[in-house]
Amino acid sequence: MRVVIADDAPLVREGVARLLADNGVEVVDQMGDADALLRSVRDLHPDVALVDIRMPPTHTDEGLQAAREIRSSFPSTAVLVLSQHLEADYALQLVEAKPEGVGYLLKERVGRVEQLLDAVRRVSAGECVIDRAVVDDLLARRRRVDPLEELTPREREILALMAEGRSNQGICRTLWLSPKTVETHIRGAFAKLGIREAAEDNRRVLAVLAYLKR
Amino acid sequence: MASGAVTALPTRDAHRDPVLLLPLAVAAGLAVGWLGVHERIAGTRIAADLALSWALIGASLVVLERPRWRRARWLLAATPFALLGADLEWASSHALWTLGFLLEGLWAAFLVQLVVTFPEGRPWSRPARVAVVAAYMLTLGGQLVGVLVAPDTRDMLSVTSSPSLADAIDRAQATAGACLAVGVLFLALQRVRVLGLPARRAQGPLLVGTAITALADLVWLGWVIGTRARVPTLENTTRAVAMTIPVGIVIGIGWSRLRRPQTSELVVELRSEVVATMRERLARALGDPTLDVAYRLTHGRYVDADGRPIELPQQADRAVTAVSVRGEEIAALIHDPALLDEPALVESVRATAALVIENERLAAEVRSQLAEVRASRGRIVAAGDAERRRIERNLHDGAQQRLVTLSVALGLEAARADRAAADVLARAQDEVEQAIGELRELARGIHPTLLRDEGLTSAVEALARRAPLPVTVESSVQGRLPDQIELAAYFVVSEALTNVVKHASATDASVLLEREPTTLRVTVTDDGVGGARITSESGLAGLRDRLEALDATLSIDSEAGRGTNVSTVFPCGS
Repeated sequence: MRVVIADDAPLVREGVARLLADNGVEVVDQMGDADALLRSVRDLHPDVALVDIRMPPTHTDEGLQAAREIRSSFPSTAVLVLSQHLEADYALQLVEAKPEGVGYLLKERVGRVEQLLDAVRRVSAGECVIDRAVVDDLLARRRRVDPLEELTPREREILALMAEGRSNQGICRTLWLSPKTVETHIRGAFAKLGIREAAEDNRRVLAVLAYLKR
Repeated sequence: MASGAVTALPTRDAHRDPVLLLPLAVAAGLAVGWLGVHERIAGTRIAADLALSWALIGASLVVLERPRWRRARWLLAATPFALLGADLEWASSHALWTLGFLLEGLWAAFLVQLVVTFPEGRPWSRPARVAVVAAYMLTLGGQLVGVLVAPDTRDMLSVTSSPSLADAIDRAQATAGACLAVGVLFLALQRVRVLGLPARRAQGPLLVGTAITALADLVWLGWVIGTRARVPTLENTTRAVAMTIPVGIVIGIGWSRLRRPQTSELVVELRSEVVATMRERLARALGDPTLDVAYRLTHGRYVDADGRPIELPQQADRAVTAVSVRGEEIAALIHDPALLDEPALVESVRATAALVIENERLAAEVRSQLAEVRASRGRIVAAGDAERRRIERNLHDGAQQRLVTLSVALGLEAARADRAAADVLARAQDEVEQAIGELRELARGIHPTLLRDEGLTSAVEALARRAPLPVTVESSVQGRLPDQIELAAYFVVSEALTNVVKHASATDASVLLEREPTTLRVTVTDDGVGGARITSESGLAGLRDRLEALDATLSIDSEAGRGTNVSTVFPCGS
């Protein structure tokens, strides 16, 4: 797998590159700003671009804009945005146009090599990745009338995994359950929440996130 | 800067008054009368000429009271002599006849100049200047050509006596004269339109007279062109109608004098509570709706009644009169220059108003200082916000970035560490993640990134999601608001929700963001125990400077047992 890394902090950038290289991921380029990133993606066609959300010149959301640009102009390159912000709004903004091959991961996850690799692999496989902490934040919201309270612990767990962007297969693997059991739980949860089931896993992410953010 | 623009009131100058002209005019009139009778000229014609002449002389005497109208005064005084000079054509003496012929239309040219340069002696506009030149060319020039061919035995300058040529010149003159009359008519009508109210009062009657005279001339000249005959009755009528010009001037002066209130009325007017502002009272007293009052502050700056700084005008179409108390200038009246023609009126207003103005000036000074304090508070809050942003950025791009670097390093080490070391490294990794999380919370409290990037509604919704009780958010805010308002509104919601959590024992709360054309209303309501007040320790009290800098008002409705409603209104244009 070939990846490029865009982050304006050279130490972070190089550390991540080494972590990935040590685990068999080929890092083909590194850069410190969005323009260089777009050039690199255009010329090198990497499988995945790891993009810091804050980059020069304004240090606001250059990374998000670059990610959207890459997804629309170079669809063969998946994007994983690394963000300091634990805010569902940014994550949704990133995935809502096309929840495929794109991910929103909190920056501190880069120290957990297995989580980072998992996210890189999933976006490169076309999945959508939402950081667990963002999902937990949404699930923790207090509601006046809260249908989430009707869910069984299992259904709640599966709902969270769906919100993270996991496929049925991914959920099966994570929870050691049979596909059939998982499907039953999903139907049960959706029925209680009144969410209509979407055929596609990635569309399902949007439906769940939109429900939770409401 | 300003003092140069302030004109002192013109004093009444009595030098070179044309009073001396009075006996001269009477004598000239008597001479013309004798000449007319001697040459058996019709009495009506003599009467018309004498009436017009003496009306003009009379007007020139009345105009004496307007020092700025000096040039108009001399034109008024000169016109009758041109008119009586033309009557020399009645004389049998060849020399007098020729002189009379040459002067025949000069009086009309004088009148044209008088009206289109009235009152200050400068032509109103470029077309007015053209009209003056045309009038002189038409009359003096026309007669100079005409005298060469006039079919009259008394003509001393005759080159050839050609009745047909003389007739042609006559007709050309009459046609051009008719055009000129139309031009003057238009100039007068246009002038009425552009004049300010005080000037219109003083000059309106003259302009009406001018229009009537121009129309009468058109009729007479039309008759001359059409019939080639000079009908004495028509000619006499035209001259009689021209009296509306001097009469108009006199009426104008009388009219603006009638408008002049007595000092006692002025006092009543100036102290009246009916019209609210000093500016309006002075405007009414002086009959100039465009009048402005500029209060002079101690360091020589001028401000309006609300304390807003104003510049004194430098252009010629505005006049500035200083108002002083004990030799110290306290204010300047900015007004229509036509008021300079009524020095006595302005002077009495100035004297009567000085004390009231002094009070107003002190009030204006206080308002101006208040405005400065408010502006300075605004700057302090803005500087504080900029500082908050800087700290937030430093936290994200400095400390947090270093912690991420540390986290990556720990990850790299963990991969090749033995089991025991890996455990320690994993704990260290946990600590780092926690530190990053705490730093994130801290940065969000200092300056929320989401507010900056996505605006008020998104940021308030995020606040509501994190609250430990159900909070519903309704918002009609679309697009972005000014930074300071967004930040203040966000902090109000944040502090109000903090209070709800701490004190209200509420089961739920709601936030309402209402965008109206000129305001933003932020309401936070809960269903808790009520009885809340803003104490000095409350977070809302800490927002006071921020809210006052924005002119926002915060109110709390919190009856015991009925929940609490915190409502803040921000003035906020579209």
